[in-house]
Amino acid sequence: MQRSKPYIKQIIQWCAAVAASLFIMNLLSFAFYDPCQELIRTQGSTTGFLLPGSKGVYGLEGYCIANIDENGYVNRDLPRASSYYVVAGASHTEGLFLPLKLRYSDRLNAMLGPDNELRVYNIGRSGNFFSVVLQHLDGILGEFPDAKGIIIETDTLTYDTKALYDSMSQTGYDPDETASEMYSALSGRQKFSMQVKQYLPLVRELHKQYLTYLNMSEEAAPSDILNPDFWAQEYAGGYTDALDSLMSFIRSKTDKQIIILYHPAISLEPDGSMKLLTNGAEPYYKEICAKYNIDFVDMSDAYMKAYDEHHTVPYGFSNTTMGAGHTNRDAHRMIAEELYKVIEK
Amino acid sequence: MSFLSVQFMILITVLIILLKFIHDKYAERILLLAASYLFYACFDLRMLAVLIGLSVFTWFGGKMMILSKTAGNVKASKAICLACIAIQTAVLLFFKFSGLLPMPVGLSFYMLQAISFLADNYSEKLQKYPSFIDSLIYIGFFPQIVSGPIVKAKDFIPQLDNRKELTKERLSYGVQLFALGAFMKLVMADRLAVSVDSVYSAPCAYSGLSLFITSVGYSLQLLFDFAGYSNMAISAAWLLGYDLGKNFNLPYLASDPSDFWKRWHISLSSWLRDYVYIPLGGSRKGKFRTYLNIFLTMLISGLWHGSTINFIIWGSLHGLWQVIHRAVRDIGMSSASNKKAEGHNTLPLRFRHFASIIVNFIIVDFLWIPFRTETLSDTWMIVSRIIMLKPGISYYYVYTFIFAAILIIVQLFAVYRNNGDNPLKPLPLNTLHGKVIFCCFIISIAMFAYFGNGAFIYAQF
Repeated sequence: MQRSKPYIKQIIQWCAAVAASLFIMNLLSFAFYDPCQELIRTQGSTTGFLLPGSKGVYGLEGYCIANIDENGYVNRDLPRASSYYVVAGASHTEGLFLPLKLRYSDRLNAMLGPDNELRVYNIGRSGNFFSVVLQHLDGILGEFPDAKGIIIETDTLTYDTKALYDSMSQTGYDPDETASEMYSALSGRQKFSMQVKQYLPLVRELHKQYLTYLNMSEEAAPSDILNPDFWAQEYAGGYTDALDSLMSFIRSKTDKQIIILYHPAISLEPDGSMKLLTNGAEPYYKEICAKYNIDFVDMSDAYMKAYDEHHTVPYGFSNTTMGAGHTNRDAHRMIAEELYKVIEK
Repeated sequence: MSFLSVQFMILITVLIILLKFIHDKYAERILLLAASYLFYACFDLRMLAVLIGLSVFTWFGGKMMILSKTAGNVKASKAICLACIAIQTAVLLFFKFSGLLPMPVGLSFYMLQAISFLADNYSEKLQKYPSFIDSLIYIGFFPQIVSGPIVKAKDFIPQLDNRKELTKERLSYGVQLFALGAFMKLVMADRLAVSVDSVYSAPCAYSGLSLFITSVGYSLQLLFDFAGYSNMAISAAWLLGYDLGKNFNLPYLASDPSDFWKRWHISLSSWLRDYVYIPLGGSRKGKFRTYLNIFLTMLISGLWHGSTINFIIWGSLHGLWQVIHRAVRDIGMSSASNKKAEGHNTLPLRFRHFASIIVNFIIVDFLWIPFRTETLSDTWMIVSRIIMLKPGISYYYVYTFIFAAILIIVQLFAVYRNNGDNPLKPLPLNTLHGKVIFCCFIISIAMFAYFGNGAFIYAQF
C-alpha cells in the first residue's frame, strides 16, 4: 500500500499536468488560430456562412481577427447603405488573412464615400469559386434584391465548356436559409456543441494538423490545368458558345451592374521575372462580357506593372511565401483601385 | 523509416521493453543487430547488402591486420590497414561520384565509422579486437546510421559490454532530448524551409536584403534540421543504453572558425581531426604544414559533403578562412604580448568577443550559400545581390526572426550562465511544474509542426 502511493501521486500529477497544459495551450490558440464555426446551406447566395456575431482569429497565413456580422458574413458592424454593391467570391474575397479594413471590398467602400456605412457588402466565402458563385446567382439576387450591382471575383478562368454550362444550373433561393433563421432552427445540443467548439480552438487546430499529417505522404499530382493543347482544343470547339450562353444567362437574370473581377495567379521565375498563370481565356471573356454589358476587370496589367515598377507581388505574406497563397494587402489595394475606376466610369 | 514515423516509435519502444527483460549480452547484441538491419532495410532492402558487405569486409580486413601485427609483421599490418581504408574510400567515392548506382542511405556516415574501426584497432585504442557481431552492430547501429553522429570505434564498442540500464532519469532525459529534436525539426527547420526553398527557387526576384535574411534563415534551418536529427539519434541510443556523445554545441556562438568546428557537427570534426589532420602531421611540422593540413582537412570535409564544385568551394573557403584566422592569431599573439609589455590598452574583452561572434556568424552564413545553391553561378548571383543591395521583392519571413530571437536568448544564457556551452537542462519531470512545461512543449510540437517536408538535409550526404 505504501509503495503504491508514489505511483498514484505521479499519475495524479501527470493528469493535472496534461489538463493544465491543454488549458494553457488552448489560451494560446485563441491568439493564433481560432476559426469561426460554419453553417452549411443548400440554397442561398453562398454555400454557407459563419456563426453570426462571432469573431475568429486566423494566423496561419497573414493575420486577421475576423468579425462576423448578423448575417454570417465577414463584414464590419456597420449599417448597409441604401445603395450598395454585393461582392461574391471565394477566400480571396472573404479575406481572412488581412485586417478587415485592408480588404478590397472595405477599401472600395472607403473610396465610394464616408466609411460609416457599407456601400460594398462582402459575402465572400471560402470555396465559393466562380462557377459556384454563378450557381448561387438566384440566391444572391433573392437575398440582396436591393443591391445596386454584383461583383464576382475569380482567380482563374480555367472553366472548360462543360463547366461553363454547369455554372448556369441554379441552386435556388430559400428565404428561410438565412443565418438568423438557420441558427435559431438549430437544436440546443447543436448550439451547445458549436459554442463548446468555439471555446476549444486547440482541438480544432490539432485536428487540422492531424489531417495534414495524414495527407503528408500523398504527393500532389502536377496540375495540368493550364495545358495549352487542351485549351487550344477548347477554343476551337464550342467554348465561345458556352461562354456566350453563360453571359447571356447572367444578363437575363438582372439588369444590375455586374462586374467580373479576375486576378490571375502568378509564379516567380528563376530569372527574376513574374509570370501570369493563365490559360489565355481573357480575350474571350473581355469580348463576350462587353457584348452583354458586363464589366470584366482584369488585374493582369496592374499586377505586372506593380511588379515591374515596385517589385510588388499580389500573393503571399511575411509568414508564408511570396507569389503563392492568398491575395495580400497590395493586391487588395490594386483591386480596389481598378474596381473604383470601373464603378466611377 | 523516419525518426518521426509511427513505425520508428513502435520499433524503439519494443526494443526498449525487450532489452529491459533480456539480460544475456549475446541475445542483446542479436536483438540490436536485427533491429538495426530491419531499420535499414525499410529504406532500401538492396542497399542492406552494401552495409553488410562493407561490415564483413571491415571485420575480416581488421582481423588480418591484427594477425599480421601479432605475428610481428608491422609493415604488412600497416599495408593491410591502408589497403582496406583505400578500398572503403573507393567504394564511397564510387557511389558518391560515379552516379551509376543510387547512393546507399547513410553510406558517407557508416563508411567513416568503418574507417574508424580499422584505424582504432590498428593504433590499439581498443583493448581487444572486437567480435564479429560487435563490429556489425558498431557499423550498422540504427539510431545513427542515416546521418550520424559519427561515433568512433574506441568510444562505442566498449559500451556494448557495459550497456546502461534504463533508469527513470535516463528515460526522462532521453524522452526530453527526443522531443527537443522533434521540435527543432518539425517546428523550426521545416517551417524555415518553406521560405528558404521558395526564395532559392527564384533568387533574382528578391532584394539583396531579403536574400540576406533568407540566408540567415537557411543557416538556422540547417542548424535546427541537423541538430534536431542529432538530438533524436542521440536520444534513441541513450534510451537503449548507449552514449553517442554531443554533435552540436551552439555553433553560432563560435567566435572563430576553429571554435565553430568544435561546436558544429562535432563528431565529423573530431573524426577529421583524428583520422585526417593528425595523420597528415597536424601542427607538429611547422607553421606552413599546419596551414596546409588545415586546408586539406577542410577540403576533404567539402568533398565528403558532395561532389559538386559548390561543396569543394565551400570546403576550400572554410579551410582558407581557418588558415587566415590561424595565421592572424599566430602573428597577433606575438604582437599582443608586445603591446601588453608596453602597457597598451586593447578593446574591452567582452566587446571584442561579441564582435567576433557576429563576424564569425556572418562569414559562416555567407559560406552556407554555396552549400545551399546548386551551381556556382547561383552562389555568385546571390552573394552579389546581397552585397550590392539589389532591389527586388522585400520579403522578411517572420519565423526567421522568431527563431533567431529564440536562439539568441539561449545563446545569451549560455554566455552568462554556462561558459558558452548549451545551457538547456532537462526538466525535472518528478515535479508538477516540470510535467506541465513538458506537456506544453509536446502540445506545441503538435500545434506548430509544419508537415510537408520530412526529409533531413544531412541524409542526402
